[in-house]
Amino acid sequence: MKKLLMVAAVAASFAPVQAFAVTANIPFNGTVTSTCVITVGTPGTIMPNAGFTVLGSQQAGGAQGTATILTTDTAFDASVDAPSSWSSAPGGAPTTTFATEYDLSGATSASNVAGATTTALAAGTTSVGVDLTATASSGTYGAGTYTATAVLRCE
Amino acid sequence: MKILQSLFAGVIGLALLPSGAAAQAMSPMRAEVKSFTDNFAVRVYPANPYEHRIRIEMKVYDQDFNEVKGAMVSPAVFTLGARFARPVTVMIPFNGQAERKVRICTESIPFPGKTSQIKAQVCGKFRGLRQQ
Repeated sequence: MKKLLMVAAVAASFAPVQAFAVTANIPFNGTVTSTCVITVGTPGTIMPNAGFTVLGSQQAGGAQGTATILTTDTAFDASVDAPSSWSSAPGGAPTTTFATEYDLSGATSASNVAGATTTALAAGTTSVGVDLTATASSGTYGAGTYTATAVLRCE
Repeated sequence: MKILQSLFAGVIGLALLPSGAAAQAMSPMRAEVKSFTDNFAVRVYPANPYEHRIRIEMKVYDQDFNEVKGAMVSPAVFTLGARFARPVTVMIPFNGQAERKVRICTESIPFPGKTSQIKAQVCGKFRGLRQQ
């Protein structure tokens, strides 16, 4: 009897140990809001034409202003407002009319779009190049520093 | 004449040297608000997702981009730290109308002493409905 019990005890000690693995799902949630991010890059450079009646980024030596627009949705439009006046200009600067144009590349593509025209943006990152042209109503631009600000809008 | 043109170009080019990049975002960009009072309120969160501080101005425009008179924005002008967003409360009067559509815009202001030819403007479209 004692021997039987001992055998049983030894047999029990060698019985397979069953591991009970338990798994659980851990949920993660995240929300990307519908939004628009504008990053202004480099300002543009405006240069005079030969007659000093126009200052523009499309003149020789001029350069576009640059920016990027990141959108997380297709609900947004881009446009560029022309300045209504110089931010700073020498005294006696001629009366000026301003015009803007913009180019889009990347998620959205478009070329030579008049600033006031809105363009629907695709979701993603779009590079924007902005041109500014200032035209003197009469007379010429005298020596000095001229600055103006165009408004790049995402709405 | 050629020398004069070169000098003139140089002055303009110097004045338009690049400034640091500035960026901004805002959420929400669309909302409809119902109100039983003479005003409706919207809370928006302008954000600065970049590594430097930016100066922000909040403005309220109508559908024709005229500034809405009587709209109260708190705060209207502030500096936002890197990777930071903050709430801004905007109160818009109905001015006797049953429905009012406005744009609330986050504008980055060029830093003093620097020239920038592009001002970024992110505008959300909001509609207020007056309940009887």
